[in-house]
Parts: sequence; C-alpha cells; structure tokens
Amino acid sequence: MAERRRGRRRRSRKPARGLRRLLRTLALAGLVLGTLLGVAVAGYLFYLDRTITSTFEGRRWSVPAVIYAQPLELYPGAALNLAQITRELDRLGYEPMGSVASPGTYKRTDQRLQVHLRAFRFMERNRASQRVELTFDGGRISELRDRTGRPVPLVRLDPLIIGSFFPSHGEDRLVLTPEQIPDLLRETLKAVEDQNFDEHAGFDVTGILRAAWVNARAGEIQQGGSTITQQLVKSYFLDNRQTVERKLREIAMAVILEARFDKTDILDAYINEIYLGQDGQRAVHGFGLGAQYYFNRPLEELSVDEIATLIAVIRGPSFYNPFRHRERVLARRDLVLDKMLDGSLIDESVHERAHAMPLKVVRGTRTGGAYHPAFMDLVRKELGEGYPEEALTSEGLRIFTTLQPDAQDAVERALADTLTRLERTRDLEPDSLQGAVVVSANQTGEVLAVAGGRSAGFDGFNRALNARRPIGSLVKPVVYLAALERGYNLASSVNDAPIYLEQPTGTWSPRNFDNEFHGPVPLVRGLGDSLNLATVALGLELGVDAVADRLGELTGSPPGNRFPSLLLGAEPMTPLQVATLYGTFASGGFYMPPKAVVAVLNETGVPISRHSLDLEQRIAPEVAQSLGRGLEAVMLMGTGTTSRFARAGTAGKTGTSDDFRDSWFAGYDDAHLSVVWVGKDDNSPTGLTGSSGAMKVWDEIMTHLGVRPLQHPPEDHLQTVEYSTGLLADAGCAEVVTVRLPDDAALRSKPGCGINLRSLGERVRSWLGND
Amino acid sequence: MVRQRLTSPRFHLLLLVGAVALGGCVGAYQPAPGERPPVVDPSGPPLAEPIPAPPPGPLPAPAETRPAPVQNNAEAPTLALLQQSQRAADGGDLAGAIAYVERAIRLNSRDAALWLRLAGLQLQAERPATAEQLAQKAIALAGNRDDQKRQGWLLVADAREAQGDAAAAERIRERWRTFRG
Repeated sequence: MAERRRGRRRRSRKPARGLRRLLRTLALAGLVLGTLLGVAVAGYLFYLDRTITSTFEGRRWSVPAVIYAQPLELYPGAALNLAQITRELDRLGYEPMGSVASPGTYKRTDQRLQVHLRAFRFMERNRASQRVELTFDGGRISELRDRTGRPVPLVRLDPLIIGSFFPSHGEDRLVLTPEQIPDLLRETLKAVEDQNFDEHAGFDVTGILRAAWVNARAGEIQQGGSTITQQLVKSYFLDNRQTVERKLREIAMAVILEARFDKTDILDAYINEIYLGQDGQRAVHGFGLGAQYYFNRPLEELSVDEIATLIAVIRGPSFYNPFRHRERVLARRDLVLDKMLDGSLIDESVHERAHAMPLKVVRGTRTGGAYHPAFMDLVRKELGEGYPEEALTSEGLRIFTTLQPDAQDAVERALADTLTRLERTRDLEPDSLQGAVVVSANQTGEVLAVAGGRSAGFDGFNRALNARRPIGSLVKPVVYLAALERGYNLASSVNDAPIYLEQPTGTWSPRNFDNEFHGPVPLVRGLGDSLNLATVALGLELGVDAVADRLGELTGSPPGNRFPSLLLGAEPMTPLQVATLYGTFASGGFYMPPKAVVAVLNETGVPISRHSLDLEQRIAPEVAQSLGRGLEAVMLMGTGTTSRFARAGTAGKTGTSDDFRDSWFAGYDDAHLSVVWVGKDDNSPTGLTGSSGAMKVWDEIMTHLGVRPLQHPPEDHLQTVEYSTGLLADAGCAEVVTVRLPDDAALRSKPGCGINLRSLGERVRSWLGND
Repeated sequence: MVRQRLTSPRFHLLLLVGAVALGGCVGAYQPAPGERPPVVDPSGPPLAEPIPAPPPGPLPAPAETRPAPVQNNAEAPTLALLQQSQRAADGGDLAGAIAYVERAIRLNSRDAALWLRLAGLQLQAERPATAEQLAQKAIALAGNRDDQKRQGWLLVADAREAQGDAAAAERIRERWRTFRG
C-alpha cells in the first residue's frame, strides 16, 4: 500500500513535478525571453531614438548651397533702359503694382520706375529693404533717388537665384528661420493637416478614427490619419510603402520626437521639410523653396490665397499639381481658405477676396531657381576640390557668381533661334545642329553666360566645357602674334603661294578656301581673309614649334599637334579654352583663367573664400594692340564683313574645320567676348563656315546685348595702309585699314595716292603737331 | 578701327575725346588733351632702356566731350564704391575693400585708377605677385596718363621688392624718381 501509495503518490507526483519543472523552465525561458525581448525593444527604441533625433537635428539646418547670379547694378549713367530693368525685376519675381508699399513690388510709368527693393544679405553687407525711383532718358538711367528724393549714386537689385547644389537623391530646399514663417501658415497647417497637433503625443487616435469615418463615408481616401509629426518622420525616410511594421515605427518615432522637441520646432521642421513638388530631377521640399518654385517669390511676400495654394498641394503634389490640374487645385485651395475662415485665422472680407483670386502660379525655366546647368558645371569645376559634395549639399553655403541673367537669356535664345533658322534656310534636318557659347567680360575674364547646347535648360552634354573640336582658323591669330613678336608688322609681306610639304603621312598641300593663290600679301590681309597658304608660309618661317609653344602659353595647355597642320587649327579645343585664348587678345594681352565664382559665404554670411580678379600679362601691350588691329581688320575687310556688326567697332575671327565639320566664331566689342561653336554631335559636315554659322549666332547675341564700340587707348605709331597690298594709302584712294607700325618701318605708298614719301616717324610727329 | 585720314582734325578730336573718356574718376590729375604720348612705352619687362621724360604742364581743355552711345557712364558710382572701399580698408577689412573695388571695375573696367587701387590693396593684403600683374594692367590701360603709369610702376617696384627683388625695385624707382604727376 505504502508502496502503492508511494507509487501512486509517485505517480501523482511525477506529473506534478514534471509540470512544475515545465512551468519553472517556462518561467525561466519566459523571463529570459522577456528580458531579451525587453532588451531588444529597449535597444530598438534606443536605436529609433538615436536615428530620429539625429535626423531631426541634422536635417533642421541641412541646406544645399544656393547659387546667385550677378546682381544688376543701377546708377545714373548706366546704359540700361526701362525694359531691361523690368525684365530683370520680373525674373526676380517683383510684382508690378499700383503702389510700392511692400518689398518685392515695382511701379512703372512712362519714363519712371519705382522699386521697393527686398532686403538682401550681400557679400559685403546687409541691405535693408528700400524704395528707389529711377528716371530714364535716351536708353539710360538718368536719375536714381531714394524715397525722400535724395540722389543715390548706385544701388543693386537682389541677385537672381540660379540654382542650388542639392544632394544626389534630389532634395532641394530653402530653409526658413522661425521669424520668416508667417503664423497664418502654421495655424492653417494645423487646421488642415492635424487638428489635435497641440495636444497629441505624436499620434492621434481620434484623428485616425475621424479620417476612417470620413473616408468610409466618402468611399475614398479623403483624409489621412497621420499627424504632422508622423508626416515629418515619413518625409525624413522617404518611404511611402505602407506596412504595419513601418507604420508602427513611424508612430514610435513620432512619439519620440514629441517627447524630445517643442511643438513649434516640430512644426517648423515640417514646414521646411514637406515635399511640395517635382522640378525635373529636383524634388522641391519645404515652403521656402515651394514659394520660389510656384510663385517665384519669397514666402513672406505671398498673399493668403497663395499660402492656401501651397497648403493644398501637400496632400499630393502630383495629384494637386498646380501647373497641370488647375481646377482641382483651385477647389482644394478654396477648401483651405474655408478652414482659415472657420478657424478665425482670416476674416470674411479677406476670405472673400482670396476666394476670388485666380490660381497665380508662374511657370517657366526662366523664373526663380531657373537652371543654367552649363554655367553650374563651370561653378562646380571652379569650386573643385575645395568643397566636398557634403559641404555643397548640406552646409547652407551661398555662392555668388558672375552670371548675368540678361546675357544668359540672350545667349540661350540666340543659339536656339539661329540654329533653327540655319536648318531651315540651308535645308538641314531639323534639330541636327548643335552649338555652344561662352560669353565673358573682356577686361576681367568673368564668365557672364554659357550655353552647353541648344536646349539650354537641359542638363545634358555640356559642349562649352567638354566638347573638344578642331579650332580651324581660330588658331591663326597665334601665328600672326608670334610673327609680330618676331619683328614683323601687319604691313609686312608674306607670300600666299602653293605649298608642298613631305610629311610622314604623305605630301601635305593645303589650299585656300577659294582655291586661289594671292601672291605677296600684307600680314593684315593674311589674317583678315584667313588665307591658309600665307598663314602656313608665315608659320613655317617662324617654326611650328614656336607657334605651338605660344599657343600653349596662351591657353595654359600645350597643343598635342606639333605638325604644320597645327598652323591651320588641326588641334581640338573646347569653347571655354578658346574663350581663354581670345580673352587674352581682347584684354590687351592679359591671360585670365575663366572665372565664374566671386565668393563663397557660409550660412552666417562670413566669406569662406573669395575669388579675386587674377590675371597675368602674357602679351606685351603694344603687340596686343597690333594684333587687336588685325582682328578688327577681319571684321572690316576680311571674313567677318558679312556680320551685322562688322563696322560697329568690333573685332573677331572666323574658323572652319575640314569638310565644314566645325563652324567657329570668336568676337568682341568693348565689353563682351563671345566664343561660338556650331557643329554636329556625330561630327558630320554641316556645310557651314565660321561666318555662315557661328558668326550668325554671334550677330544675334550682340543684337540682344547691344554693341559697345571698341575704345582705343591713345596710340601712336598708327598708319593707314591699303588692305590688299600693305602700301601706305588713305581712305580717299584705297580700301585701307589702320595698323600699328614701328617708327622705322619703311613703307612704300600706293602710287597715285598723293602721299608724300616721308618716313613714318615724320608723319607721326606732324600728326601730333610736334614738328 | 579708324578708317580716316590721320591728319584730319576729326581724328585728332576723337583722340582727345578718347583721352578724356579714359581719364578715370580718381585723382586730381586731369587728362591732358593733345598730350604727347610717351615715345617709348615703359611697360613690359624692364628696365635697361632710357625712360621718357614725362611731359610738362597745363593744357587746353577739350572742345567737346561726346560719350559713345551705349557706353556706361559710371564715374559717380565708381567714386562711391571707392569711398566705401576706403572705409572698409580703414576699418581693417581688406577683403571687403577689395570686393568694393572689384565691383567698381565691373562697372568701369577700363579705368586704370581702379586697377591701381586694386593693386595697392592686394599689395597690402600681402599678395605681391597678384599686385604686380594688376599694376601692369593699370599701366596698359593708362594710355597717355603718365601719372598713372608712374603710380603703376612704383607699385610694380613695391611688389618686386615684396617678392625679394630689391634691385629691380630700386631700378624702377630710379627711373620714375624725377617724374612729377
């Protein structure tokens, strides 16, 4: 019995003991698991906390670098007319109004312009907003006064934003400080997106229920249940996939954010972060950039209806795209306006007026944030190694550049229009021609405009910087320069006669464009008419190496070709390199590396680098003047005579490569140097010469820019010679050009011209009245 | 390119107008119409050849000044910017002073006086090589303004000296010592 009992007990105890053990094991396991889970959850929460906190802190002021164009300088005496200035004001988003009560407005009357300038933090100092009045007379500003009528010597418009260096994932934004955010925006956002924002702890059950109810009744998604905080979290991690895990994580992060930061900070972060649209590759984030993108104005200048429009877009920037779905956006904007009224954020009359407003979004690549990718490449190149990607995309740098929006527009339009016209008039396939242009300021080398192709806003292959094409006759001035430096002058004679040269590749016998031989010609004509044989003869006299070395010194990179074909431009260069070469000619002999950046300021406005004017004399001034006279002769007498501006005080050189594959022109007046290339991307012939192709583009550019005739510093040693012979002559009896000759140049005069055979020195002295 | 007789009075007048237009806005020296250009241009690598005797004194005023049609007339703003530059320099802000002068150069880039000022500031900022080239630029733009040429060469001398070439500096100064602007 005892056995049995024991046995029974044992039997009964056995399972009991097993159960206990099981329970104990389970409990232990549970404890371990629970602890593990707890640790895991805690770890996960810790991880979430770290992630969201650092993202929030990091993103708050992480701003892509903003790039500014050159500000337009206004002063009495400036050759700027009313139309040019209003065009710039329109680009900047200034509004034409009946009165100029607030910054960002202007009023135009007959020959008068009132402008209420915006405040702007310039490179040197801050400029407060101010009112000025301009009067015009004869195509220039005649008076500039402040609001009290006092004359002002000069004032700048704020510079146009021409882009930003947003990170590779495409987010761009302009961060607003809390003071720049209107209360109306904050309050309306809460009313529309998150009614319980001020109370909830990151997520909002009533909000979710309300949204569910509304959506169920409507049978479609009309309201989102996400709080502003949740939307902010979602926006940080750029993920729209709706899974339970993600939703939970989003809620957890939202709760953490709420626990760690102020409501206002969160709301302001949201205002700077929320996705508002897509501009090509660039994602428009935040109301600062949103205002620029849709209205081309700073947020603080937006009216009630415009703020409502931006808020309307949040719900679905593609569904509510104001450029595409105007009616839809208008309807939602009015809904937002109603919410403003309901929340007593605006009064009845404001509501009524705003309601009556049309949708005022402005479209166009030429508005704020307009992109000039070709110029931006140059900026990037110039900033180079000094600025790692990270610094450019997140540190809020402000980069001031040399771009002149008016010149840039002129260049883009001139190139596109002229190529289209050339294709039409010359029976070429539409869109088969390509082109590139660089325009710079003669004396400073600052690049004012760049076109990398015929569709300017398109961020594709940048021919201005990267297309290396044979420069053809554009090389010739270097040959003549080397000759002038060797003691030749423009009236010196060179023989334009057949040339046969034994080369490793066979006999090289260049020809003239007209297949003729012109015999002895003065240098000025060899250059002016771009005579191949005369130029090769001259180059061979000097030595190909000498010319190659000189070209290398003037461009900063030695040519690869050191054979006689170099003398005719069988050497590829980019339009930007050609601009450097001709910049040295146009500046009177000073080499200037192309310059696009003036200064880089950090986010607090402190300059962290300045790119001062830099140049180096590489041609003696008197030689540069001589060569300049030769390039003027190109326009007056040579291959440039068909230009609209041949006789307007300009200088230049045409260039055509073999089989008409490349059409080049480099030309300048007193202010602007332009280099134009026209050709095809597949390098097939276009049938265009330098003057029938690229020079036409230049004509168009100069028509827009306005020609400023070349001003000569007082020069001595000048003489007029007959263009075709180099004989002394005057305008009364021959086609003459003015050249610079050394004192001892013994020239014959053209028979029958009635010029006394006096030495040039005597002539110069008598001309100066110092006999 | 001027396609007319050099002996014509119109050309002479044009030359005078050019000289006046070129005379910048700074400095008390007034451009001298009809002033004889130096026989030898002293620019370029110096310095063994003799120096032109600078021309003397008072000259008649130009009969007419006619600005070219689309040329800016930027004298007043240039002056204002130079004053701002001076204030910045006085306050120890050399970089700011340079920025103001560069702004002026953008408006009036053929004014030798501005390049002289920029060269001086770069010299102060201890960038003598840059300063030397800027002074050369000023000299090239000075035309027949011998006072500006002299200033330019003296800046070149200072820049040379700052770069360790005291001998060249002394030679240049010696050449321009006798000249009064």
